[in-house]
Amino acid sequence: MPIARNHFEVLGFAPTYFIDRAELEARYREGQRHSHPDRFSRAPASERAQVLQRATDLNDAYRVLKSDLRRAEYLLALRGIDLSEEAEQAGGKKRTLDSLFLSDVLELREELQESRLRRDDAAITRIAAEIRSRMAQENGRIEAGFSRLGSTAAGDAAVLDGLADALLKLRYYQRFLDDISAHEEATA
Amino acid sequence: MSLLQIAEPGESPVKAACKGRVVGIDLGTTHSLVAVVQDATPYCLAVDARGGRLLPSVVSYPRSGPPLVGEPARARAASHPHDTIASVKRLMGRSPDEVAAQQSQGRWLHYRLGPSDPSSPGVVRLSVAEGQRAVTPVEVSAEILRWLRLCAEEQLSTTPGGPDEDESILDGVVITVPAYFDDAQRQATKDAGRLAGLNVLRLLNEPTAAALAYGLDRKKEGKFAVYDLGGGTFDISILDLHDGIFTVMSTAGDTALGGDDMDQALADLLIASSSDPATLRSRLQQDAGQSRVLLALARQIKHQLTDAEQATATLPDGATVTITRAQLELAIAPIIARTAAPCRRALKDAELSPQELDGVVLVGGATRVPSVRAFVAQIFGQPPLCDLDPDQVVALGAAVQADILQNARTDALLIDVTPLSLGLELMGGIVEKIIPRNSRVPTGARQVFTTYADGQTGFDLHVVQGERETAQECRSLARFKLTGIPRMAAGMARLEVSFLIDENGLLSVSARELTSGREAHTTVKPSYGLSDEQVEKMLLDSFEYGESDLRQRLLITQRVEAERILTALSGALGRDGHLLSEAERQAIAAARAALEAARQGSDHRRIADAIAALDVASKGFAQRRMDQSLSHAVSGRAVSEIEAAVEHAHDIEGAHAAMPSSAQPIDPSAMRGSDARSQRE
Repeated sequence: MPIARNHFEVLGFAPTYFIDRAELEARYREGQRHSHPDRFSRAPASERAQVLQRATDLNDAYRVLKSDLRRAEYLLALRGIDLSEEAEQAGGKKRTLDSLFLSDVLELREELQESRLRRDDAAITRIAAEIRSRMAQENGRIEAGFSRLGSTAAGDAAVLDGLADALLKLRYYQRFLDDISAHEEATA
Repeated sequence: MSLLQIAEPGESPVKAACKGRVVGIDLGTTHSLVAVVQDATPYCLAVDARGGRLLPSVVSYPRSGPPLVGEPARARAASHPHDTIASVKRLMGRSPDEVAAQQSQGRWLHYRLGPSDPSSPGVVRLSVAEGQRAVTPVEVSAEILRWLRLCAEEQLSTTPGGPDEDESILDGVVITVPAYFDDAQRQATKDAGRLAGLNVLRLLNEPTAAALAYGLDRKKEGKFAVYDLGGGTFDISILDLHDGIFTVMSTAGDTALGGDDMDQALADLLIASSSDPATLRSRLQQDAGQSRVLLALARQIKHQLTDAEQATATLPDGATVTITRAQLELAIAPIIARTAAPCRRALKDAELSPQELDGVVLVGGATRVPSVRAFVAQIFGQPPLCDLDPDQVVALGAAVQADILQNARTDALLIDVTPLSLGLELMGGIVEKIIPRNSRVPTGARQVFTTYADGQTGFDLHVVQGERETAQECRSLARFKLTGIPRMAAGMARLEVSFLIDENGLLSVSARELTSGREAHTTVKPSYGLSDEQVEKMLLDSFEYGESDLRQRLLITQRVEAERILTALSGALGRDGHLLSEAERQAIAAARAALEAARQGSDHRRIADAIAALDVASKGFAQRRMDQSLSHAVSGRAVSEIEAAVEHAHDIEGAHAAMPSSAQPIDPSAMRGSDARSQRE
């Protein structure tokens, strides 16, 4: 069985957080230009199946590498730190977030709930902006963490732990934002 | 294919490269079209005897004999409302419950649901042919496709007299679907293609097709929104056109929203404006034929109000009502407003603000309504582009895509997305999303499951599509039964299930047991669609009215058409003969005699020519009759008379286009006219 290539290999990048967006776009387009199934609509079924797989790999790799959050999670997964809920359920190490963060988010949730009841759109917008600014902060931590990888005397363990922590927080915030926009959509 | 094949001068490389031809088909709610690329230019083929490009998507089933398609079918809507199926696209991939819900929501869908087949209770069946037959929406759509196929074969055939019976000159087709169609609706469309004897190369999203026709035509680069409001569906797609690659950034929409709904709203307004709304309403409820007439009248008024400030009509109860454009706009405002949320969602998913768009393209007949254009301008903060005929642009794009596929062209490539998230039902009815909406296709996902009982050898999976949290609120696609898992203790077997959405947006599922490496067997039970076996059986059954007698069907259809026109003309001459000059009277009499003679013969082309000649001869007459009945509505006139006059006048409009036997690329400048033109439905 052929070994599946990881998302970085599919698009010809070294496994790093720092990826040039324009270069990513260019490589993706070039890849699709050569392996999109539409280019092989007349090919034999076996060849088409291969092409379909290649195009699927390209799209899936692009989706992960394009997003800062997904790319960071994927890099940690490549280093054996699986942050997916599935891994947690399968008995993986449960990572806990500090209680200060949790109580803080809980407070924001309550504020959101009250603003909704009051139909206070301005307050909801303010909460969303607050979440975004915190996400920017965590993104900064992530960027700094990835640039320190492999360069600290103490080894990468502490840096990776910090990255995992920042990613889990980001995910929390992202869900919070999704919740706000889902609610907006439903009530629009 | 020989390597030494060289294209002869003047011969298109398409013909040289392969024996067959490929076409693009827009299978629309109200109209369907077929287009082809010749000498690098796409154009629409004629679909009726008079050279019209728009085939009404209507199929009518007489008590015996083959079904009628297009204009002759629509002409039977008032007399045989239950046997005449219009807007069948709204039923594709739907469950009987959903169709019943559509009907109970006050929509005038004149279908009579037939008894369901116990072997597939999820499949809608319509009782037609005066109760003699039950047909599925897939079969109805296949009739429309078969007709388009016949038209294309006629015109693309190089042999005089049409293709030989056993020679198929159509090598493949691209059929368009609304971008927001789910898997069941797409699968139903593909099944209809197969049933019509077509090799479906690709299902293509309508807005993407429009962008292809538009972008290639104009050599545009940048980010565009395509706002596609058709007869029964609404799509919004945002695309990035760059270096010949068309990437869909996001798509959103509503598969049950369109111009049909405007007609309904306007018909309600007409009833409310009548002298005795309650009586009229109950009369229409009992008489499906009359309500079809009222709907047609509403549509005519909608079209008139595109240019005029007011329009007058006579209702079935004899009352004359005048509707102003302002009234129309008020009545349809809630319908148009429903397009706003999908537009905002598409922008958000594409991470764009309206100012970052380089243009907004309008597609679909309903975008001719002035208040729709105003609404689009307001939402996107810029006036929409409408320099391509919104009725034709989707078919033209489909033809371009067919040409790209056929010739493995490298100058253009489409990268589309899946419109809805794909999910699995977990314990408790919660949905876990495994492929998010707006993922580029083809795309895949893998999930690992484990057994929960000792010795468990099977597994049930419920796959749904949609954005909601619970399976009940999403759309059920299929239930998969996985069997053949080796017996192990609970939690030991590890089952990897792979989901793949291909470039057509169609889902396939496969499964493997990881510890043994064995493929698990998957049985798909589509929730609302037909199984492969059912399609096969229909394919066999369809030979009853099938391939061998297509020519015979063409003749029958032309005869029915001739009869309809002759009857309408006699009536018109009887009532309004005074509108004619002597010269006109003579010209019409001669053309009429020629058609009478042709109708007795067995040459469908001769009948078609005679119909066209009669149309030309009576054009002035028809125009005057329409002016007379609609602008100065004479009170007491039956609405069916006005209907007939309108129909007649519209038949004439079609006669200006080229004849089917001499299919030529239509004049592009005429095609792009966005100025005041009357619309044909």
